[in-house]
Amino acid sequence: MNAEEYRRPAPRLPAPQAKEWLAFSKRGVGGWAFLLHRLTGLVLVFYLFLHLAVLSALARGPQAYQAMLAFMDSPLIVALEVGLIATIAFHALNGIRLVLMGFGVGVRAHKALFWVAFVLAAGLTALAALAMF
Amino acid sequence: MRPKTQWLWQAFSGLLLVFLLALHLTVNHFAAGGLLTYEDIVAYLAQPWVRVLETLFLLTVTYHALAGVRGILLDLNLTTAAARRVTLGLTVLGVLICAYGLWLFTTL
Repeated sequence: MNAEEYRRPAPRLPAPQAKEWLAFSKRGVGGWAFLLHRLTGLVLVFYLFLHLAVLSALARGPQAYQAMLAFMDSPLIVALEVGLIATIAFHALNGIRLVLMGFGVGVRAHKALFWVAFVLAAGLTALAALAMF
Repeated sequence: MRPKTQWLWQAFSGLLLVFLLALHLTVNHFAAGGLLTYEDIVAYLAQPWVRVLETLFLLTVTYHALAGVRGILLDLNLTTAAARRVTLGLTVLGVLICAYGLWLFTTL
């Protein structure tokens, strides 16, 4: 091996394509869990910014906050909040599953655990919807 | 920070969030049968332990969210310089979010 060859940097791995994230074929339960966890995470990051922006009404005083509450009282907003609960519940429960996997707990049952997280999230969402409507 | 240490922090902050978010949602959205009024929020935040828990919630959720975004971006095999810029940008953003959230507390 000559000096020129020795200094050559190692080739970088090809960057994952966004379309691979959204591919429907050749995606197992683990692949769907990965995709859903990331998508729900991104939705929640967006919501964090939105939530903080909406809460700026608090700084503008009771009247501004009351106006914001009146706006939030519409069925459309409540339906979106139910969707938010579903997103949080899935992300949290699948996150617990990921922590278990990371510590080597229940790795062989990872597919079953995904469905447990999914069904529990759906159940919690239904309970929240009953409480909110 | 090593990738394994980052994963542990993300896991720890995530587990902490399960508890803090459940508390936040229960108190702020479900216990009162809807969103709290302005006066309710002022009374709620007047309790010192609530301020501590809500501040911990703000710091934890900001860290967990931005570390998650960083993880997704670094998965795209960025160059070392780009990865450093991402980390710096998200750190600055995180500090701004926390400062804004803490400032909101002071307005009540």
